[in-house]
Amino acid sequence: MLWILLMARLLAVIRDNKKHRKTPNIFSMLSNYIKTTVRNLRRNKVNTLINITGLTVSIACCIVVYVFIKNEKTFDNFHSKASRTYRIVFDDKTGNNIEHGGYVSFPVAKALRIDFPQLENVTQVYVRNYGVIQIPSANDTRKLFDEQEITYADEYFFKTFDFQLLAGNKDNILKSPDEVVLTKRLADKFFGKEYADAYNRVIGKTIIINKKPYRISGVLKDMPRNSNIACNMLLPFKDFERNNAATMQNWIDTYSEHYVFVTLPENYTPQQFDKALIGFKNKHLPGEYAKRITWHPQLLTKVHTDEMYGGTYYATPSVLIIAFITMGIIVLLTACINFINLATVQSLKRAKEVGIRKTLGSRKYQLRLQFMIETFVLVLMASAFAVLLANWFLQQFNQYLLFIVDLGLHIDFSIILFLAILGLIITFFAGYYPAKVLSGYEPAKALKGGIQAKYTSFKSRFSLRKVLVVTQFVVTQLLIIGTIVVASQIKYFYSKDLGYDKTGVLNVEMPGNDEQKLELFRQTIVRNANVRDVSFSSGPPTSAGNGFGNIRLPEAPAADNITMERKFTDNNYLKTYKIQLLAGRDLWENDKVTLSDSAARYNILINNKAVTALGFASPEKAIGKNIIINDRDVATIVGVTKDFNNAALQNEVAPCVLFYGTNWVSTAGIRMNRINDAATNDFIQKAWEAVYPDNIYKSMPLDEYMHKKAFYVLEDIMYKGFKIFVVLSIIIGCMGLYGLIGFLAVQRQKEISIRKVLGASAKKIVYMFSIEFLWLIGIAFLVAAPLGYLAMTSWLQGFAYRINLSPVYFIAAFLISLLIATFTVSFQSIKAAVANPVKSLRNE
Amino acid sequence: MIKISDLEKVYRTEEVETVALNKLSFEVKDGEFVAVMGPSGCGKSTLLNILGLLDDPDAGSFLFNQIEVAHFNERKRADLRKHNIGFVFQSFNLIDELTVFENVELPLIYTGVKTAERKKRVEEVLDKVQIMHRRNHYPQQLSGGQQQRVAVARAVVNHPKLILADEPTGNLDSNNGNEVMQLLTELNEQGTTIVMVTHSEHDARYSHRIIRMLDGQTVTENILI
Repeated sequence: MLWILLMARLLAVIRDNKKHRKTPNIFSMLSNYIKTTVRNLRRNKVNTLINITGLTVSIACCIVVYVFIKNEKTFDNFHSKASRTYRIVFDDKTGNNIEHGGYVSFPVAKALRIDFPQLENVTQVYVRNYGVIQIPSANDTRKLFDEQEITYADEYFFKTFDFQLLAGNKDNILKSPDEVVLTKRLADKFFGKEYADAYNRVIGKTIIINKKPYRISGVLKDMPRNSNIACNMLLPFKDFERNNAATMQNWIDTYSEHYVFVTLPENYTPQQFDKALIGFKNKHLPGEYAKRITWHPQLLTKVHTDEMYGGTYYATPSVLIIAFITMGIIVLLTACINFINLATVQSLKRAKEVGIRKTLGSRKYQLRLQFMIETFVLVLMASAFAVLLANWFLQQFNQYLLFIVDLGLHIDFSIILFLAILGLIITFFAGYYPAKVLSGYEPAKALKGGIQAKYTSFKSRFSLRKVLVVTQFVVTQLLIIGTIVVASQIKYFYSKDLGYDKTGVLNVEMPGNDEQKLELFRQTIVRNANVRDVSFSSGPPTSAGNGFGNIRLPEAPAADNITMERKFTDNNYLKTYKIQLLAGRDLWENDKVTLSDSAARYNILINNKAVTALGFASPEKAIGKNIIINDRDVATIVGVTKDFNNAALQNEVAPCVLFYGTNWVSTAGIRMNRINDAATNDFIQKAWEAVYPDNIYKSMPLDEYMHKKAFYVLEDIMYKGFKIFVVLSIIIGCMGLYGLIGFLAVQRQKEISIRKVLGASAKKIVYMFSIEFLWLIGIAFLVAAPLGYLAMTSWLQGFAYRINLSPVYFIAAFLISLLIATFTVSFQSIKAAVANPVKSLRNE
Repeated sequence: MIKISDLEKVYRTEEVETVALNKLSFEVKDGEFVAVMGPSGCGKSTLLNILGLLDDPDAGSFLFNQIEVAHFNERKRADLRKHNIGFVFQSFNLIDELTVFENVELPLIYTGVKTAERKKRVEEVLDKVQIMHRRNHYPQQLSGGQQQRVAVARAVVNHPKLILADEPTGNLDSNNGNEVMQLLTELNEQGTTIVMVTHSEHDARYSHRIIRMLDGQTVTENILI
């Protein structure tokens, strides 16, 4: 703002002067300023280096944050019909509880097309996400590929979304159930370089996906990563329809990752459509559901950042975005503080120049402008370096943070505008105060060297300098506290007793439910002496998404249903994972059941949490009792297990039902005597590949799987981010401190010399310097500790299982900042302390 | 050109009050060369700062070309200063980051002289003080006498009506000192009014009139010509 005022003032003066025929030639003035600036920067090399480095790093951080956020905010806005395209979302109201979701049941899309002929287009996608692909080749050594991000899309897909085809015909694609559309990346991977840029030759070739042949009908340009529906391969929705006839008629069951998009015509508002959807759901949903559920259109470009209805696969939690913005601002703040400190402390050196310029007729605003321009030149140089650095940062960012986005730096108008605005903001924040101080010097005093060290002294009780240095220490200490706490919480995750034994178990992904194959695999591997137990299940004890359902006592009304997690296991599950049985017995071979659509009776295990939730007095009391699962199946409790963490530690242990179900096997847990035995692992892999020759073997020790796969991705990213920003902000802060002390030491050289002449030892002088900073670090700690406590307490609230905030974390942060500061200060103060006093006294 | 009457200036700190000028009055006519002498602390420099519009008086009147300027605001003072007054200091006060040429050019930039005209005038004046050959040097690369000649060049480049010189030879040896005094005399002969503060009786003899000060007041005036 003030910058604008200053510019306006400048323009007014130019106009004013034109009237009076006394134009101070603006270009001559600017060139004079820039000349002085450049020579000044060259002369104060250390100072310049500190400022440029700090500004470069912080501007680079800001660019990274900007690119990250821009990527977040531009999801799917590149489709020409984006402003008229909506996702159908639902609200499901039961009692006082409303659930939201961005997915709908399968018949919706077709019915919309029939009931709303005025809609420009309706399309649906179903993200399938996994497949094993074989490329038949001439010499019949079949190549296997394991691919992610496979999506079913219907023939209307390209009428809504502007993904570009490199080969194939948009209007005639995805219409038959046996075709497939590949991205360029996959086409290159499957067929090699010889087909690159000649994708027409790929059309018509057959590839085998999950053992079924598909004919390639199109090759897509790789989809931009800022799309919610980006994928690697499109399968025709007709293929899904063909194999799921019943699901296609089922209006009640919904599947996450199944999305319906409508494109409204120009003259049809989303409000009108929203209203019309009421009649639509009343027509199609059965009575009770029609009352509970409402459907709404949600603008396509809002999908990604929406937390209520849930984004798609690529959604980034807002806490992460806020964390990154905050850290960007913090690093920037540190660099600005450095700049202000160094500029004001150096201002005494510039006092003479100010005096001369004023004597020669310079006005205050001209001087202010001059010093602002100096700052601006520095910021400009830093911005140029920052662009290069940011590019490198982004490459690291993509790799190091294992990000689900693919960020790149593209120099376009928006980033230049961003840099320009950022540059002006930094110039103003960093440059305004020093410019004000400098331009305010009285010329007569400045020339006589009579400017008191008012702005540069540490003596006065409250100087801006002190406030700035304290602020810097507060920031540093906060970041250190944050890092320590996040690291401790993550360590706690990995070391907490989960209620079962996660060590010594190999986790192997299984491709299907075929009982004969499973049995064959089991029998082969148990022959190895190193293998102790094998269990097939829907997932290890701690795993997300094993299916949820409801349980209640037979006599209780449906309203009393309790949400539970349902695990498909077998009679070896407890043994393999060493889960303790509190009452009753384990599952037996004859408890095995294959679920179908009709009601069933079977035996189950429940965990202790479910015992309490169902209202049994003790585990023993639950044994032999029946409960109702999903308002349909009657299940008899035959055993109760001790609670184990079935969900990630952000969440409480949930009520859990384990039963011997054959429908869903995705994991084999293999307990071994020695987990890292290469021969055994090799043996298991060979056995597996013999049973499943068309699939790709994937295994990982369970504890490693827990680290890598699933649960603490966000915390991990946060921790890594914290570490980076801590290091950056400490380095920038230290550089500033180093420069600051250097100047103060020079300034106080006379005092130091007199003290030395009077008998002070070098040690005393170093102490004298250090003690001032120790005070400031102490004051900073008084601010940082409660702030850090509040921030970290609120962060830890997000975890059902969390560490206690011990004072040790805070003391450690204090000591670390103390150590760093002392180290930095001592460099310069020792230099000042051992200097020959006679030299500096003579200079006086 | 200058008429001051009953000029007062008091410096105050928390504990001490120092009277720098005590009802000082005198006049300087157009084309005069006046030397101001007196012991340290008698108020000479304060007087020069007020005459140069670098400082305000607390009371009294200051007529510059018949205009009362005692209470001009900073903007007006800066305007008046840059068009009418040139300064020469004991410690030269050149800007270290600018070359000889750029230092001398600076007042012309502030008064808005066009580039070509600036070049011409700067070269003219550098020629006059015989420092043309060092035009692209930085002040640190020059001897004291050379630096002071640059400072004089800077003071006169704008054709000021008044030059204020604060012990212009104080940091120079006698040869260089005489050269600078010669320069000032020439300028005076061409019509520039000069007020010079000095400790040197030798230098004072170059002037037309010596004003002797003590404790913020004029004690005597010696007319030399």
